[in-house]
Order: sequence, then structure tokens, then C-alpha cells
Amino acid sequence: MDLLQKLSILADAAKYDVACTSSGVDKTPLPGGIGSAAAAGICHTFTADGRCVSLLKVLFSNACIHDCRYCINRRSNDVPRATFTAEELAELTMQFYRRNYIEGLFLSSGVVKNPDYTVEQMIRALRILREKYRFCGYIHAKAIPGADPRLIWQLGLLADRLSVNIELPSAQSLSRLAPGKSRSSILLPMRQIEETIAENREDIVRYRHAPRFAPAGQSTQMIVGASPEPDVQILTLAESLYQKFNLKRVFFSAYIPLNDDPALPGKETPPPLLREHRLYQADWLLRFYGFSAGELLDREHPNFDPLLDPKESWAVAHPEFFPVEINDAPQEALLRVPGIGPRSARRILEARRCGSLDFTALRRTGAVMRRAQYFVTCRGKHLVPPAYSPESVRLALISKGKTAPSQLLLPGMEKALQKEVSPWSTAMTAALPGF
Amino acid sequence: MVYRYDGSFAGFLSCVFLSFARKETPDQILPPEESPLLGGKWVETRQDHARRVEMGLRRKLGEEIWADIRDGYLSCLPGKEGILLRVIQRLFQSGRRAITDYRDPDAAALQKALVMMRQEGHLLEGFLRFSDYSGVLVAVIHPKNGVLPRLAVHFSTRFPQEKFVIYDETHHLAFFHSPTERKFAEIDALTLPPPDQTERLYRALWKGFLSALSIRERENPRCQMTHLPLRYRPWMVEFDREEPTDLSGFALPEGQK
Repeated sequence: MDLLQKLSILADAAKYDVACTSSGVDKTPLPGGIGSAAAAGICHTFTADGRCVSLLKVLFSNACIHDCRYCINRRSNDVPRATFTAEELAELTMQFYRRNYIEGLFLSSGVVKNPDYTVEQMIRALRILREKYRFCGYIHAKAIPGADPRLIWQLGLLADRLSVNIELPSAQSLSRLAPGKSRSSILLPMRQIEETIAENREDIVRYRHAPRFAPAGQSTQMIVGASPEPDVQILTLAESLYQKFNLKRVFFSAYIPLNDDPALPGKETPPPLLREHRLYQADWLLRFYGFSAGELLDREHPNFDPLLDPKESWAVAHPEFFPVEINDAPQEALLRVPGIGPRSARRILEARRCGSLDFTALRRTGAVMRRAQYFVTCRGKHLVPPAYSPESVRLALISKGKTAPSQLLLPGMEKALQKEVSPWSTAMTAALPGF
Repeated sequence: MVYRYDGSFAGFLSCVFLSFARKETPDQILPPEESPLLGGKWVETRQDHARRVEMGLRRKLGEEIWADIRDGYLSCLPGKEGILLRVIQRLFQSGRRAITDYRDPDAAALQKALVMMRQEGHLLEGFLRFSDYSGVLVAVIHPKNGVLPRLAVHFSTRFPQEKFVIYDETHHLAFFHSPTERKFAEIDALTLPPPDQTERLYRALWKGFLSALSIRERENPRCQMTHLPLRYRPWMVEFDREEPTDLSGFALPEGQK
């Protein structure tokens, strides 16, 4: 098999892993080394599906011993299998990196033989990169659940970011769809990584040359739409992962039916892309806008509105909070206005130091007036006559040229949503002291 | 009243010097390519004047605002010289905060140009592609703004041991880097030899990787267009349509170290 075939197989096998970010750490090369990293991350190209390509995202091997029902690489599938050698993977990474095709390497793997063996192979490839080529660019490595904690530790010293996939939004779905994995085999390495990062942060303060463990932090991802959990459960889980495991990112991956399996949505089901989009919007609201999951969704409203984004939905449901006066509202209040983001909020504060703003100035800060107009006043004045009711604001927002979505819920899943599913979050809270 | 100058940054600073010395505000400050008529006042570029303006701005307004002025000059904002002069006057009147006073059309225009310029620089840090010509990496870019200085810093930091050249075709400026020397030079055109076998191999591998990576069920060219506008694509290897290379019988990377 030539290298091009191998690369195609192992990139194809890795493509459903959503994260391809290179963010979280600023680095310059060591003496004699090559490579740097920028905290904001750098995208190198975008595929036809509009996703950013920042890293050489490949599996080390797709010869997996597991038989997870949703996965293309499951043991029972008849797909071409390939495995890199550590040398060729390192050489390929360096040659792509020199040409500025990529920001670094994203290395994951199917489980070959057993988790320890798999991680050892990954470590060997990363060692060649870091030691032989003195590569100082970005490396994201997947920690394989079930591997020896000492191997995970070594992996973290070589990688900038580690991730463990939580796979599905509830323990129940996990045991149903991924028989080879268990709640604890996922949460244990996640907890270990979190604690090691925290210890390492102290070490670095104390000893300047302490080796750095996963300096760009930890992330995870879960599949949305393969199992019946409603949005509220997914978002609450994401929130508790941020709070309890200090994750840098939680990624959502709209389920694409790859396998004909009675436990999963049928093969013609379109991926729930809008639902995934809404979850990401809400994820941003949690991380940068000061919202909590409980404010956005609750038992009565378990799923996002297909027609309004989560922030608009919140604003429409909270008329008592508005209008916000641009010239004296604090930053937290500005951030809650649809059409105003962290950047425009910062610019409004900067401009306010020079004097009061009118709507022309507000527009120049980058605020999106199409949305913001219903919720703000400048010097006490409204841009449009105040709306009579939340419902009329809702209609006004919807009518601004938005397309109706088609895929919030998968067909046949509404019934499934009625059933109670024990959420991860409560299971985890109970389990935390045990770690 | 119109000032004309030679189009250099030092020339622009000399205009600022003259404007402050004479206590007058020209309606326009024009570089040679925008002022074919002989009207207006010709401002001689004087390094000592430019130096004094630079020192004054840095000392009184700080390095951050100095960086904004310098980057604003490198941006493609139409009438940038006049806008920058008026912003500088306001900065001296009302203090540093005037740089982000979005009520002022000049400051707002400058901020917008800065965002676009820095965004273009950031994107090119990712979208720029080097080709290996027997050990020397060469990249050609077509930016709207003068982002070469920023890219020079970025890639010099990233590849301290490499020999590389970045050529800005829009502004006819090139940056040369080797472990021992770094320099900018004005160049009219750059002719490159055809890529060799190794280079074609890695291009083919990169294209193969990308075509494997896209998910058919999620295809969304509009989204791709938003993130990666068409104007960057002619200089990116993954979008060029050269015929596929025949790689049979060619050694894998282990063989050619």
C-alpha cells in the first residue's frame, strides 16, 4: 500500500472526529527547533463541508478491536484497514508543516490489540516528532480510554492538548451503543488529565523548567442525534464538563448514519446539522456571554427553537430585562442583547469613555442592528417603536430573511424524547468524590 | 489644499510634520499614483522630520497607538493618509481614548480598516503555501493590505532554520529569510521553475488528505466560501487543477531523507 492510499484511509477514518482546532497555547520554538503556536489558533484551509482544517487529522490505525455501533471503524465493518509507521507519520507531518499546509498534528487511533499498545505506538510517533525533528508546533492527541495512567501522562508531556471522547450524552446510551466502553473508562482518564494539568500549573510556577503537561488543556466531543437525549440534557452535560473537568472545549458532532443498525436512526436520516449549530451557539453563550444552561433551556423547554437562535429566544422570553440603555448598561447586560457580541460590547465601552453614543455610532461598533434594534435604547430613544408583545418581537426576528430549518429533531425521535433518561450530570456529581 | 508625497511611510510622516508646523489641515494627502495632476503642494520626504514625528507619537501616545497608526498606513483604506492625520490631531486634542471613539467617522473608519487588515494577516498565516525548490521555500501572496511585515515576523519565528521567500505580488515586495539573514526587497516579478518530483508528491498527498476529509453529507460550499474567500484560492495548492501526478514507483518519504 503506498503512502497516499494509507493517508486517504486514515484521514477518511478520522474525519468524523470534529475537533480540528489549534488553539489554547502560545509557543515559540526551542533553540534549533521548528514550529510555533498561537493561542487563537490558525485555520489553514476549509473543506467543502465548510469545516476548518488546522491540523493533520489522522488515525494512527483504524484496525480497531471495539465494535461501537455508530462508528465507521467498528470491528464488524468491512472497510480497508491501514496503520502508519511512526517514522512515516512524523516525516509526513514535518513535510506538511514546512509547506504551511498545517498547524500541527491531531493524532487519534482505533484500539489496536489493547489500549496500552495503542498509546505506546502514538507516543513513539510523537517522540520522533518532538525529539528527532525538534518539532514545537501544535499536537493534539486522543487519550485512549483504558490505557495505563503512566502512558497517558507521557502522552500529555508530548502533546499540547489531550482529549477523551465522552461519545454520547448519557451513560445509558453509551452502554447501549458502545459496548466496549464504560462511563468510568472515559471519566477516569478525563479526571486524571484534569488533575495533572492543575498540578502542572503549580509546578510551572515553582520550577521554571518543569515539563509542561497538555498546556493547551483538555477537550471532548459527543455525538448528537444518535441517541434520544434532548438539548437540555446535552447542554447541561456540557456545562458540568466545563465546570467540573475544566475542559477547554466540548464539541458536538451531528450523527451521520454510517452503519445500518437497528439501535440507530436509519441510513436516510439527514444529519441534525441545525441542532448541532444551536448547541454550538449555546456553548458560546456559556463560555463568553455569561449565560448558564438553566437560563437557556429547562424541563418545559427541553429543545432549542429552530427559528430563533438561543440568545434571541432568551431575549424574547425575558421582556423585563429590556430595553438595555447602550450608554449606561454594564458589559454583562450588553452581552445579553441579541446582535451585540464580546467585541462590539468592548467597543461600546471604549467609545462610551469619550461621550454618549447614538445609533449611528452604535452601528459603527459592529453591533448587528437588525437584531439589536428591538432590545436597546440610545440616550433613551428607541430606533423602532417598542413592540407590543414578546410574540411580535419573535415574529419580527423570524421574518428577517431566515430560512425555516428542517432537521431539529430526527424523524421518529419525538416519542423517544418523552422517556426519561438518567442524565450524565447527576451520575457524575455523585461519582466525583470517588475519583 | 492638497499635499503630495512620494508614497513612503517616512514621506507620510513628513506630511504630518509639515501640517503640524504650519498649523494647517490639508483636505487630502496623495501618493504619486493617485495624483497625476501637478496641483497641490509637494512635500519632500525628510528622514529627520519623520523621525521626530515617530518619536513624538510613540512617547506621547504609546506603543499600542503607534502600532495602530503604522498598521493603518499599511492598510488598503482609501484616503488613509488624510484619515490618519485627522485621527492624530484628535489624539493630541482629546487623548488616547480618541483612537476607539466610534462616534468619530475617522476613528471608526481606521478601526474598521485595522480589523480587516489584521484579519487578512491572520488568515494568510494559515492560507499561505510554501513550495520547496531544492531546499528553499517560496510562497506567493496577493493581499489587499500590506501584511508582509506581519507574515515575516510570524514565519521567521516559526521556521528559524529554514531558507524561505515570501513574495507579495500586489505590492511587489519580497521578504527573504535564512538562518543568518533577513531582508525585504522590492521585486518586479518572480519566475519560478516547475515543481520537482518530491514537491509534486507532497502536493498530491495534501490533496488526497483533504478530499478524504470532507464529509459528503455535510457539504456546504457557502460556508466554505465565507471562511475561505475565493480571492485566496489561486495561490493555494489544494485549489489548483494541475493534472494528477503519477507517483507509481516513487520512493516513500523514508527513502529520500
